[in-house]
Amino acid sequence: MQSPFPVRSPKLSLALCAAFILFSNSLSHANVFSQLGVNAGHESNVPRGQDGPHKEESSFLTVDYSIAKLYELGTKNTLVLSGGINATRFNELRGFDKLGVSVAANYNYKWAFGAYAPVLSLSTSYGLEEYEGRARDNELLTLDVSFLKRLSPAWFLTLGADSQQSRADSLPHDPIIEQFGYDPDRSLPFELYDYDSTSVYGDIEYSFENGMLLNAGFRRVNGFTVSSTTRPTLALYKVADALYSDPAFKAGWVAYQLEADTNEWSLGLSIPSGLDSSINFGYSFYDISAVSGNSYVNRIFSVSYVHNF
Amino acid sequence: MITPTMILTDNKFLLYRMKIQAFVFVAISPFILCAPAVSAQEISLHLYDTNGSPIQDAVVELLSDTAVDSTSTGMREAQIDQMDKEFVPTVTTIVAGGSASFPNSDDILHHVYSFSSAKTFDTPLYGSDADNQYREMFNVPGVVEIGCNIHDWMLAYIYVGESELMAISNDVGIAQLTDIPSGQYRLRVWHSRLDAPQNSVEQDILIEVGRVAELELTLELVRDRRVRRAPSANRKRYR
Repeated sequence: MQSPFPVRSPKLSLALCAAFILFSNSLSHANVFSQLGVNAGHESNVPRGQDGPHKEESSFLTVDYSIAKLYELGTKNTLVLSGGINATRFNELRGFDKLGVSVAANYNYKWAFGAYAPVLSLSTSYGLEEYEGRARDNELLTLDVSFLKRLSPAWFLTLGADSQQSRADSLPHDPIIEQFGYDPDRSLPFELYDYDSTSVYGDIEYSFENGMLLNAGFRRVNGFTVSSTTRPTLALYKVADALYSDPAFKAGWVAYQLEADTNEWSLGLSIPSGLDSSINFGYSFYDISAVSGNSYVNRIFSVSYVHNF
Repeated sequence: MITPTMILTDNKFLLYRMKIQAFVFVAISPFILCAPAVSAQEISLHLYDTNGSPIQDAVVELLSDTAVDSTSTGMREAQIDQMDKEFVPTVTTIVAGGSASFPNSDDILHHVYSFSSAKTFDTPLYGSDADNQYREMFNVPGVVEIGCNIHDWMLAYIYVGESELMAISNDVGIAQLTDIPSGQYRLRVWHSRLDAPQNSVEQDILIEVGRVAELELTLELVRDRRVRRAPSANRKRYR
């Protein structure tokens, strides 16, 4: 699927962010802030396996830190430039451990003063993720447009759409894949994380008088899934868009890319733990429908701590 | 003696459950006896919400149709600081024609604004080096809601009064007015969360020489318009 946004290379986004940072000193009015997040949770189907033997669950711990500079370009316009680093460690599936870095630019247009004015938000981010093996390494360019509106002291609405370009390194020939030899006329690419996707999303948030927040969200992704199996069949070979030995497992697992639509449902509860921090409970359910009728589910439960500095 | 006229000038008073429950007469001091012209009439208002919790930051104002001979100087100049990304104080009273400055004690930048009908203004983004550079005049009586264009949770109110007889309730819900000349007044109570038109209620009262009264008012409040400051995992945004 082609991205609807005319950005030809993730490098362009990186260059844009770097340029903003370089020129940022010429904008005298700015606030620097940073945010730390620590997130512990459990994922029911880390490799996105289709059936019982391939649904590997694991608990995980993620730490992320970002630092940002906010510029007020005018009374209605702000620009936030940020950079972040994140690391995830899986307790049972160490092959999915990853380290990521990202840069982002976020422009907000606010129709008026105050917390109740509608906001149009445009964002671009570029991130790199490195796993235990190169086959899962990827660089991700995201373009996002969202509309935010506080409807009342209690209700806050977010609607948005985004486009993602995921790119993977060129990988060396995989002798295991070549051994399959199902169809000599059909040579699948190896790059599991070469794909584009788009999504639309909405989130509604309810704020209690004591400061607790309850939110419910939905995201529909039109894109791809990368799943893993120990039994790559001919049928799978025929519908997959990429195939490679899964480096997240020691041996015998193959990862494959399928075109898929994903419905993501999420619920969250956020409890303030201080003026600038909160403890959050989140639950997400992923219902992934791939071509040829393959379907996958995943559930993530997490508890996180977020602190603004 | 302070005597309520018992004429409820607005039926809404019943709705707001404004109750004058007790009048406590205290002994007149020798000083007051020697100076009956402007004696130490006082009102002490105890403000509670419907749950019985004290109401802080309510403004009590006495309004008169005639010129008031008062020893009170009122608030002609005020200062609303910005400390740890909050306005301090949250509620300020100024007599119409007075002014307020907005120093920034934080090491970050703020952008103060108001779009209230009583006063519309906005400053540029500025830091602590601006000192008291940003000062605004408040000539029109009313309530001015001020915010920061960077930090949406920052919210404060400037009550621009018609009279110099104003007080703000403290953390135990008590507002005290002293040195009140005797006469007929309208007692106005305003709070940012008061469930009433313009967030205020009024009642006529008659203030007589040399009396101190304690009034207890129960007011119905709506939820705060202030937004949460703490970040959430769902919206990891600065604002």
